[in-house]
Amino acid sequence: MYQIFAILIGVLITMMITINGILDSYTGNFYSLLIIHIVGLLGVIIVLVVTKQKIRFKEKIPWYLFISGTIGVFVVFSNNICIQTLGVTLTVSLGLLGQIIMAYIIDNYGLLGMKVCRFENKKLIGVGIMILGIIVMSIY
Amino acid sequence: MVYIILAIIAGAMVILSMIINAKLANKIGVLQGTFINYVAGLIFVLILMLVFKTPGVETIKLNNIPVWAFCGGLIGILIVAGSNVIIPKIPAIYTTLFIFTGQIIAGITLDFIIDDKISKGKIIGGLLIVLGIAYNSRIDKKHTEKTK
Repeated sequence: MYQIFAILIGVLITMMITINGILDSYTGNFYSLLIIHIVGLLGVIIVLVVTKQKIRFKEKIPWYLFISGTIGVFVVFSNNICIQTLGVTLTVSLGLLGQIIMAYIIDNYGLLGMKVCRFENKKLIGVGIMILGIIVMSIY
Repeated sequence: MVYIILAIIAGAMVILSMIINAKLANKIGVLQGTFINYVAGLIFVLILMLVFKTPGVETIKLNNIPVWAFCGGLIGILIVAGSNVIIPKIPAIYTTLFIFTGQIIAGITLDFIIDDKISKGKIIGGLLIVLGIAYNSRIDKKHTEKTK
């Protein structure tokens, strides 16, 4: 049951990327980013109010934990322009490849305070199959 | 080619922001973390608009845009909320596999809806990508079983 739920979340992620890309084609890069963030912010505020949750800063939070939103802006911007040239599937697939590679790099070196989990060379086979899939996608 | 590299970098950045978000959520809560995220993002967009001197809002015709096109941000919240429900319930390796599979299936379907043609290359390529992820997930699974 939760497996189907996980697949649905994947479907939602792609739908979001596509819808944002379409909005971008109407409004241009900056206004789409602005609208997406305003709508998202309003949504979170509504959920916070409805579920009666408060924002408390009990402990000191390192500054870099606040900047993830700016990384998000870059991700949305990049997806918005890529989708219009590469199409949905290829943009999403290349994003997945980037995610896998980054996750392996972070795990291998234990960056950002994560536990070190050495890369196994056997995994190059899986990465190779993924890259092959992306090549097949872009050639057709 | 520029777009291909950009799309890969964006994926890498997704992981970076996921880790930072998880750390922030640990300290102040998931929705609270999402709130901070959107505020930081919004401030950053406004700064970018000032720096690049974006033309006034009257240059875009808002009433030509279908309402659903505005809903991307809302879907984002559904994703955050939904992930919180499933992540503790199934092993992380499977979560990634299923979410990626859902993304690719939806990508192929949406490309079909937008372009009105089904591409064999995308289906074969999509299958290969899922296969590659599944293969590496199996290695990860063996690894976690051993450490247990």
